[in-house]
Amino acid sequence: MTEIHDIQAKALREVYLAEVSQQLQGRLSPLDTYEALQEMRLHIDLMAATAQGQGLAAADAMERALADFGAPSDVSKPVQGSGGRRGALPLTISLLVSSLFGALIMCNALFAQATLHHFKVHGWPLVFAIGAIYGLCVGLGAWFSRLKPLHIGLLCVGFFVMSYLGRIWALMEIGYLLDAAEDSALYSLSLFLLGFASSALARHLRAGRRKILA
Amino acid sequence: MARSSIHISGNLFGLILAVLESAPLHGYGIAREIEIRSSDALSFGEGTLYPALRALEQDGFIEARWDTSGTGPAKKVYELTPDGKAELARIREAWRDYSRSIDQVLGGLPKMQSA
Repeated sequence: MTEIHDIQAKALREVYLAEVSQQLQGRLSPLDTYEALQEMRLHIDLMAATAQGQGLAAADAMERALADFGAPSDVSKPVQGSGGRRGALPLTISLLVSSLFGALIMCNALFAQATLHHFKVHGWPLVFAIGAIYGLCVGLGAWFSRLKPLHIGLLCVGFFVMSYLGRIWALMEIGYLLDAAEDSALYSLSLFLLGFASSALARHLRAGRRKILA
Repeated sequence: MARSSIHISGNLFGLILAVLESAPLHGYGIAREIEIRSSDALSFGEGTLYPALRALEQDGFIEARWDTSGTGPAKKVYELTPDGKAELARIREAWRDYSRSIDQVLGGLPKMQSA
């Protein structure tokens, strides 16, 4: 009889968690959803164990635990002012705009230098490609809460260092080509700094907007 | 589990940060600590802790790690960050201003001296 109650309790819990999981899909990555469900499962089990300690049968204890835990819609809803998709969208837009703006300013300065002939030819598409890739990476990273601006920055710095080392190696004939790589790395570094600043500002504003009272 | 009429609604962020100030805790531990500190006077759907914890983590106010020590299943433990401590100080200050204002209207405190 106890075993039937246990099975019934677990079934109740899993039905509840399946509903939560369904509502979390699309907002959290599969790994985050899995982790969130693991956390909730443990919490619910501990609540049910407490209720069982008060003399309730397993299934009744689970029912009470689930009722106290809250409706699946409340458990899975995004909190206002938090990150996630809603919060990441303005951040993504601000990063893309600031990246494009930075790219335009730097292009303008670059084309004034006649010595960078190779960049004059390939400069526009290259800078815009870097800006677009950078914006996309940061945007997607923020969107899925996977890559933080700092991580993107480290990637850019890594690229810069590698191309710099490449330039030393390329004191031979292909140095011309690697000069362009170094230039592009410098640009990606500058774009990162711009993006990082705007990201930090967006984060600060978002945190400040959250009020202590509903 | 006794439930009172006081619902914590929008104050959950501050309560979580305050509870984590003394020690890192997992979700269930946070809920119990709020219950104990409030002498069972505050009520909330405990599942609503998790969206709040995610938001606080994304804002960099808390950090999470999986604790696999012990005999039971792995637990996700949350810890306050330096940014979280600063945010808690800000929330406390705002709450004091707010409660002082409410007290003045309700007549709980002597009138504040205007500067």
